[in-house]
Amino acid sequence: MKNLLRLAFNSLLNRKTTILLSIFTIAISVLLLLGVEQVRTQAKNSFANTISDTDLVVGARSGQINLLLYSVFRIGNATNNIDWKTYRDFQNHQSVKWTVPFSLGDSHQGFRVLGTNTDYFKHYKFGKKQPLTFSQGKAFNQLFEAVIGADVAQTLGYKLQSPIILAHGMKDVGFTKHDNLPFKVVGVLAPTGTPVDKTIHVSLAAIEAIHVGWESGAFLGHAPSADSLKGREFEPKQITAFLVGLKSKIHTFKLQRQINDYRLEPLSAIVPGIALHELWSLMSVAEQALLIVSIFVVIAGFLGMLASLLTSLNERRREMAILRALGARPQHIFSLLVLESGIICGLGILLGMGLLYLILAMASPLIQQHYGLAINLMTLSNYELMLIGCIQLSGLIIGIIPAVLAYRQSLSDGMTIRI
Amino acid sequence: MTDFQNPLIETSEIFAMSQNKEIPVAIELKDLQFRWPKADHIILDIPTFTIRSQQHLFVRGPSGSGKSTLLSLLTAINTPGKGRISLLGTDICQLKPRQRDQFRADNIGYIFQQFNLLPYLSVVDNVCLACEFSSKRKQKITTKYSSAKDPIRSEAIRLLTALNLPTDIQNQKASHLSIGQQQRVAAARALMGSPSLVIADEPTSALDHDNREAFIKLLMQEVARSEATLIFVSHDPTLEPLFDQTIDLAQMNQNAQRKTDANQQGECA
Repeated sequence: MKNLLRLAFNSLLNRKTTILLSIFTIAISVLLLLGVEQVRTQAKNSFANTISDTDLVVGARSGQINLLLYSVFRIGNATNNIDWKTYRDFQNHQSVKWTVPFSLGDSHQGFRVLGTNTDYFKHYKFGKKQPLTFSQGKAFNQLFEAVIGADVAQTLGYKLQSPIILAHGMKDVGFTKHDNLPFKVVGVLAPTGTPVDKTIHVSLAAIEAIHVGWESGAFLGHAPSADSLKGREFEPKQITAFLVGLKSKIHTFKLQRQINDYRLEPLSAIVPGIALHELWSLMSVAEQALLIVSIFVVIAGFLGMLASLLTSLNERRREMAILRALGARPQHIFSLLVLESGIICGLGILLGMGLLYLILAMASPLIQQHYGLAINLMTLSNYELMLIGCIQLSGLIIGIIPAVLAYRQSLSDGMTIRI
Repeated sequence: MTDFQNPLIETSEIFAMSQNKEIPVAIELKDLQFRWPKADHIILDIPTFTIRSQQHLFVRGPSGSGKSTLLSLLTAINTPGKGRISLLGTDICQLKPRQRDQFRADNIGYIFQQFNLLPYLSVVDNVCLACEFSSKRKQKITTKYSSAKDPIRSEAIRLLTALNLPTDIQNQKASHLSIGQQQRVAAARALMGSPSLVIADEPTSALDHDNREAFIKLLMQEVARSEATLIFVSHDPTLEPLFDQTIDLAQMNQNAQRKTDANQQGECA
């Protein structure tokens, strides 16, 4: 077997141009299949890792995906706000351990601004119940102080003490800016691979303060000075959503039902894990389509390899006759061909995996920057190993076709080849 | 069995009488008939034929006289529909296909007409390939070079040098050699591990006259050194004097004879 393997390897080297093309075809199909699988799994993980240890997310009445998207992923807008009194009601609920209020609606150079309180830094968790940590500075405790996410700091080049002018809404144009009330960066959060990295955090009071004079939705009143505002107490009238942590998980559905049935205001409470699952299942059609396309690419790769093996077969009848003359059995000829296709396939898989990791290593900072998806260079999962195993096995099975033909030829040719 | 006088019997009997009775028989054919599947006529029909060990036999015959068919039977690739083939005392028709392949690997060195070598292996590796499928041949060499680090390679290099192949080309790819050099490498491979039978199928057809004779002389020298029986097939009658014994396959093959006679009768009529 060892000698046959060496022969097969040397024979392939002799036809390196066509074989290299076959190896590349297999490599590209493997790259695509594993790439789709990696991005799918990691995107799913990244999605699922966005929020953890939060039992309920509460917002104005809407669909659970919409609520999840605007509150956690900062995508889209809230349908309505929640009254501050309502928030206080549930904050004091006997089952509730902690709450974190969210007030959204402002932005800074395309990054969303989140008004919250310091409980956010204590209770908001991502990944495997990892808390937020500061890479520089600390949480805000003054009115016009801001804590920025890692991406904001990196993209805009902000450091501690950098000034920030917030804009009303998502449009960062002159007449919507709160430019008389600049904020100061007092903390930079460590990267999390979640939308937190793209968020500017300020206090709820600051959100109220910058909107003095903006009650109609646009700035019509006079501009109060920062100093005059600092002396005032601000209590929000409305917030966008809030996160709830319970004393006991058992109460999750009971409280969810209570919130959904709340008489004073139409509310929706969602369990983040269930909403994430529903959101992901929406994408499963695209996911399946991608997987099917990749499988077809793998099949096309195999057909390419088969074509090149079959084309070379006739030219190699004399090679087979020489081996037969030296005592090789037809089974040896059969094994030689199957081994060749196995080697092509194996090398294609290795090259494909190498390319995959190279591309992931090169592209992951870009993907992280542009799409907020954290793609890590992980070892292959069992499912991926099974996919690779299937590809290798299929390579060997495909090799049976030229092997059977060569076997038959070597039986009929013997040592007299008439080409 | 036949009305026709069989020159084969005569030749082999004369040959046997002229030889020392102690020399063992290398090849013995008896009542041999062969027909290709789906073919109408018998291509080989040899009542009896014997070659003793270490004989250098020249087999000639025109195209279509069954030379290649005879070789496929002598190398145990095909088996006859009728009759017996005994090689080195073994009735190869009684062997299973796997045993026949092993018998060929152990006992037969084969030189093709042309394109003898695997182009992707070096010259030395091509020669060493002869031992890949035969532990018997490997064993013979290992016993001979018990002290060498790589006995198989040492023997390959010795044979290549003996066949006048310069050392500097021995590690080159086989595809870089001239036809004459390739044939000498093929001869070296056929002689590796001293097989008892060396069969050469028109190995000189691509060579010019001088190279042809030089090649045959070298081949015979080495065959004699390894005490093998040589069967050399060619349609070139000028080579005949170089061999101990010549057989015309057209005469051996009764079918061909019958066909020839019938043609002759037709012409007379």
